[in-house]
Amino acid sequence: MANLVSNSTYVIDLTSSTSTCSALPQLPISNYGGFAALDGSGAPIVCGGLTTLGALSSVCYALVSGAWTNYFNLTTGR
Amino acid sequence: MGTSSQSTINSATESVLAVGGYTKNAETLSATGWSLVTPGTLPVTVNGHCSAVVNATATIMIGGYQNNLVSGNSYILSNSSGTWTAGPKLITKRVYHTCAKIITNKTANVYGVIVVGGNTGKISIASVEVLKKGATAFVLGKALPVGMFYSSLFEDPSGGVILLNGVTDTGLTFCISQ
Repeated sequence: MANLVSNSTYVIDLTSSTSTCSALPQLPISNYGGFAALDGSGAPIVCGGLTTLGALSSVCYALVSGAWTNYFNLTTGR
Repeated sequence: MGTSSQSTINSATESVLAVGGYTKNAETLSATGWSLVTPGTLPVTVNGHCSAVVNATATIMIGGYQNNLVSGNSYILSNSSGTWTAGPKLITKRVYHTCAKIITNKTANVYGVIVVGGNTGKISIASVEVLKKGATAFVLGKALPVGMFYSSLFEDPSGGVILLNGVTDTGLTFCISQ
């Protein structure tokens, strides 16, 4: 299973059948295998994953005012 | 892209839970940051699994690489006690699958958990399994038209679920809704 590492993210409006993916700002890092969620304020966050060097990351970023900013880091790289 | 760890969002409690990722532990997000779920840890390390909210009090972790072996085992986390207990086994062991909470009976407003696609470790999987509320075993659902892994699954606002993207054995990536 080949992995193409990218730092691109997109948002999709599931309530519209005609919507297309809208590109978000590129992430500051190119980790892969991490996860994404919405925090309590509704902000998209991305966390963890493997770095291009193969190390587990504990770093999280939140999308605030159209830019990825540092967020609470995980307690554990995952 | 497949995940090493998996997150679930419990809409009832508005909490985010991150499960596994080459580890046995899980952590939750609050307004002040992440904290490990205690006192329980999974009995195995997990990655390439999926997780889904069962209800306001429980989250299920399903399949993936468990202690580095492709597994069909599931474990259920009690949000109140912070402990994991063994759950039903998948019919087909799989990694890099996706899962979500779905409504299985619209009339009675009953929810279950659906597990879609994935990979055996060698080839992609088309089968779909469903764990209905109160059931002790997964049952087969309507299979995908083609085996696919690395997908994302969402509840469709108009009903059913949407499988977003995925990779087939031939490397194709596309979107399916059901």
